[in-house]
Amino acid sequence: MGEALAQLSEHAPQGNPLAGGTNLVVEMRVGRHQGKSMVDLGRLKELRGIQAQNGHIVIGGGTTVSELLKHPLIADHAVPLCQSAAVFANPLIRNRATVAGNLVDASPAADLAPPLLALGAEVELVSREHTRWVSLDEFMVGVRKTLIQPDELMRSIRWSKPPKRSAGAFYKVGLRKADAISVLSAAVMVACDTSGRCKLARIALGALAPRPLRAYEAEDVLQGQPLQAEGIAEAARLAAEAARPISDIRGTAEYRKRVTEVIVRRLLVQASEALEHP
Amino acid sequence: MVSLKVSVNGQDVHVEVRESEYLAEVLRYRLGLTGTKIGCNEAECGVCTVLVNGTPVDSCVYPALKAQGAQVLTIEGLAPDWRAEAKRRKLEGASAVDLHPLQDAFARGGAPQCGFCIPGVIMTAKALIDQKPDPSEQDIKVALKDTYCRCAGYSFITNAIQTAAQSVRTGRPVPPEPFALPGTKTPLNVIGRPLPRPDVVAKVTGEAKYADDYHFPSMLHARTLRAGHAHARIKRIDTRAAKALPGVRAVLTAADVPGEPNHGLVYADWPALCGDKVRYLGDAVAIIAADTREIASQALGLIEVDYEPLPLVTNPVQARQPDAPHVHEAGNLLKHIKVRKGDVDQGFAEADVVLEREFRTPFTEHAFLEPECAIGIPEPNGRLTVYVGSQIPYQDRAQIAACLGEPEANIRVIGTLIGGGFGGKEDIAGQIHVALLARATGQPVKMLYDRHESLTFHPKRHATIIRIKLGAKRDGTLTAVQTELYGDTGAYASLGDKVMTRATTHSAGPYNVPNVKADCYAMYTNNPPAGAFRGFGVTQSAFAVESMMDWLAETLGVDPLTLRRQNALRVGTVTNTGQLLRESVGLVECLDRVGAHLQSLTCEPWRGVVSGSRVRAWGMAAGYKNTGLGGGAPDKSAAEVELFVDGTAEVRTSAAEIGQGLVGVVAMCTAEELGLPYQHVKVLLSDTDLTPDAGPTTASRQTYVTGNAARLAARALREALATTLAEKYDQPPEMIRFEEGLARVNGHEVPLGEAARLMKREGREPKALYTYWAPQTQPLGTGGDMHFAFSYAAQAAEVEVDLETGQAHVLQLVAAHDIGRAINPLALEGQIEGGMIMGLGNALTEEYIIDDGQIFTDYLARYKMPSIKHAPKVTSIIVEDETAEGPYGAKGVGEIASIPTTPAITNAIYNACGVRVMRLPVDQDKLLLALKRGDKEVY
Ligand SMILES: Cc1cc2nc3c(=O)[nH]c(=O)nc-3n(C[C@H](O)[C@H](O)[C@H](O)COP(=O)(O)OP(=O)(O)OC[C@H]3O[C@@H](n4cnc5c(N)ncnc54)[C@H](O)[C@@H]3O)c2cc1C
Ligand code: FES
Ligand code: FES
Repeated sequence: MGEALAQLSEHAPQGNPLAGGTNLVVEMRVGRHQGKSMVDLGRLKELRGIQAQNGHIVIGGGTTVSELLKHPLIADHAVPLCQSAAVFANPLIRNRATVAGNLVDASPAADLAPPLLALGAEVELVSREHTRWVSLDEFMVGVRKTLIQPDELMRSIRWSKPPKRSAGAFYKVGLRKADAISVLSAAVMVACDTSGRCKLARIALGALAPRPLRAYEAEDVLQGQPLQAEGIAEAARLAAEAARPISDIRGTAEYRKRVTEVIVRRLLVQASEALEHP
Repeated sequence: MVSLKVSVNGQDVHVEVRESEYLAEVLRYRLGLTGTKIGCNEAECGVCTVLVNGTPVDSCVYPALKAQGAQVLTIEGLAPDWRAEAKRRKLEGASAVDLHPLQDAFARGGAPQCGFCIPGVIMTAKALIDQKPDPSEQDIKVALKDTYCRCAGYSFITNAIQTAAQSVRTGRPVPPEPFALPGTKTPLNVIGRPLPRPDVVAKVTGEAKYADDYHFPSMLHARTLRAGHAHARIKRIDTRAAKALPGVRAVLTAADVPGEPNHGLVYADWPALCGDKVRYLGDAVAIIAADTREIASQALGLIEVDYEPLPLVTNPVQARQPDAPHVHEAGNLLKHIKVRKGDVDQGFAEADVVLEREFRTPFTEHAFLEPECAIGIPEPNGRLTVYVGSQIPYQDRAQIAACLGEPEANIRVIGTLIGGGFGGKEDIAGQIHVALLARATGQPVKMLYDRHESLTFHPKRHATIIRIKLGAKRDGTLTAVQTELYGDTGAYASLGDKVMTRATTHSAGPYNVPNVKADCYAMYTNNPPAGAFRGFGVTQSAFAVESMMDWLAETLGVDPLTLRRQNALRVGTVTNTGQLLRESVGLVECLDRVGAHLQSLTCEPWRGVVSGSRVRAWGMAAGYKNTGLGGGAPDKSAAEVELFVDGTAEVRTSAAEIGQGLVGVVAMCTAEELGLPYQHVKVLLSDTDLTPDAGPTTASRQTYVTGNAARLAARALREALATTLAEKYDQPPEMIRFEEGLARVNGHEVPLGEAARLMKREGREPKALYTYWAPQTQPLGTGGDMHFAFSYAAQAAEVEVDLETGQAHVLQLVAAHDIGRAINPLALEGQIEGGMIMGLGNALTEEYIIDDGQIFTDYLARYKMPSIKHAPKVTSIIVEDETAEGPYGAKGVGEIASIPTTPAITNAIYNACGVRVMRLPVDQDKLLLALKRGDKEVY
């Protein structure tokens, strides 16, 4: 790892960490990234592993999507992430694609971002000189823009174990002509107190703005309320309002907004049902 | 160069590779393991899948050096791997098995069609059953989600994987006929039996050779400089820098074409190399041959071309405006096609109901998984050989010879296996270019397109605009149909004239309509050319007319199936072009069989069933499609059958095997007529030196014409044998029976090999060549028999629409096809399912997007075709209304299956949610908007 960081700072800004390569190599094959030097992270142990530590789940940046799918800690403490991993690309890509690669690539449609946002994740960035933690929400700046510096690596990602009486869900809308990329995706996490009132709500949206984002206003209306049809409908409406989609070949902005409302509503209903029948 | 040490199929290998090389390239080009295919180089198609340390990877994007020290397993290593496992497990006969159970089950179960995807699919499946020894259908769908089979034999693949998994678990061999097929007539000795195609073993072991799998000593690699402008004048081309690059052996431009500057299947309007102007983005401007592909690619960037952009023509309606820029000097109209029958004005006057609407269909892409490849080889005797996966070898030869300015006899075209064609490999791709470069350099030259180039360059399915007006009496009788079609044939004619003619003649549907008027304008534009694509124009017009038939049924308040049945073509009716149908019209039976099946499932199929925000409903459509070229074109095919003294036979014909199973058809016809076991017949296809001309592999014609040629050649040979035997054994020839590889004559059993020897002794060769001429057809407009046969179909689709998201899914398909006679039910079923899944893609996902001459769909990732996930349950019903002239009664199958599927699906969508689809593919986005607005139609 030390060597990788040294190479990065030496080649900066022309160095390019190479993880699973499912973005990078495919882009190279169609002629991009010429003149850059690749720093292969493939075998770095420091970037692997899924653990529970001090109330957190911590995963290495080099964790593959397949590993997410197989690990009981993810199944138990990150339901939306697990659901997202299950519909991610295809089994071949899942074996190679890494979490850090997905987040650093910073596509507005990156499928792991909404579930990690809904989990309230933070990312760890390290360089030869420093280590810093930033919340994922801050980390993502815009289309293919993040806070990462050319000499930094994303070593790990962590989130607090969701409390008891919590539930989450993820869904993406695809099946479009023209492209395999999500038209939109959404993830929710909710937790209730013993009286059934919502004490935590996070709603995250993908492919609906230049970067995946949280629908804070929608989350607010759920706070302190029992999770019931009316509140859920209102939250879904506000989530759709938070979306700032564009129209492109994959879908019109209007469609994306409308369906955001439908999907967020369905996910919240699904989560509230999971709470009732754990 | 870096050294790479890996174990490949259990053998330690040590090779020097460049850092930028990928595993697929190392396997194929350095180690000669060409069983692993390359279809896209973008991790999209899965044909390059191999196992690295047991994990399946897309080897096209797997840097070779990542495999340092790893264990790699490819299709070539699968059988040895199984033998080792079988030995470990002490299975009986372990050392004798030639195939892994997956390979065996794929072969027996008829999963391979063109075969190009099969190595990747099998390797993905191997990884799956290593993990899950008893995979469910769902497990298979998940594992194979993005491992495409464009021939779409998905249910065969699923069955084969489950059968193989069982065999691996239990150690028992794969059963000979792994699963049930729809009922067909009682088979003859060979005809009518579900036999594996002769090339099937090669296709499951990776031995099957496609063009890029050939390698010749001192072979150069070629690339093409594409225009990158949709319409522009070429002011200057400077190739000096490219020529000066070390390793470049030739750079050719239009000035270097010695013979005819243009090629074209019907009209020679397509420059081999553009000299004065370019008409679409993919036009070829220069070609390069170099020592390596990398050098050739680098040299492309060194050619300087100055263009003066010209105004664009981007759609066929604009193209017809008087002030539109001209794509070709003679104007933009390729052809105005007319169909006239009766008097439509009177027909509409008699109608109680008149409906009129406009439909649109997009360009679509064949997306055959094997990109185009050709190799040109100068021969020591001065001739030139071209290897290419072509649908029309003899016409390739003629076109190559014309451009070279050489006699045809100088050229030999050898057809390799084809990794999917679907009509997209009829036009010239690289075959002329490699011939020019081979002549220029004196060395073998290979031209392989990458996926990007393939998508940009080759002809598509025509985008159309179809206006249709339909009149009927209150009782449902059709009185008149009038259509106006615009077809976008792009920059060059290709088969545009023929395709749009078929669209036009079929535009009033398979119905008995007294008054018909159809006008079609096939227009040149600056879009990529449009040409042949499975369905050949009928796909487009069937969508329009079948949507209208459902609308008419609703307007009249009658059942859509009953309405179709009432108006259906049957014996004694006259088609829209004035052809009296005298036999073999199975449409009514198709409708009845589908109707009966639906009734067994539900009593009100057309009514939506709501559950939550989702609604399900059925929809249906009918269709017909000609067999053969028709329209007065002479339609003939030749085959030669030879019997050897060892008792085997060979049948030779230039017809192409594009996955449809023609190899099996000709072998079966030969075996049937000679009374030989099927396994004793070898087939040699597509070689202009060795096989007689069978004409183009198009228009669903080969089973009919070449099946007949093979049948009649074999019969002629049998008669010759009979004459010889009759004399020797003193029995009249008609008393001699040929069966089980023997001639039974006067109490003797003479093995056929012996009979061949007898013929030779008499100084006669035991072979026969037969040129079969299909019945004469008449040109459009003369009112005679425009076609010698039609196949018919009725299909129904059950669809689920999510009213809140606009998403539509096909749950199941029920289909009845009248194909005359099922020669091989296994191959037939593959064609039927594959065709229907293509129709599903056409309805829901496929669109080749061009915006203002710019191509959006220039990567495979941007073209969504149905994967195993989309593949619904299919119930297939075979109707065998024999046609007298067809081989054993058979008609064409290749195209009909894909025709009614699209409108059956869109009609089901209407029945589910009340919105009519006026434009393909169904856009979930627009569908939702229409639902919210309460619109009845979505454009
Ligand atoms: C066929 C196909 C299907 C796909 N489907 C999906 C899908 O369904 N959903 C989806 O979201 N994405 C999809 N993708 C995109 C891609 O697979 C994912 O974004 C994947 O997570 C990228 O991970 P990787 O390890 O392959 O990244 P790489 O390609 O190796 O790297 C991507 C970027 O991240 C940087 N990087 C990687 N690791 C680190 C690190 N530890 N620290 C700092 N920088 C790093 C690289 O420098 C590069 O800029 C698909 C791609 C393909 C080819
Ligand atoms: S996925 Fe590798 S060739 Fe298509
Ligand atoms: S057999 Fe699968 S692509 Fe042809």
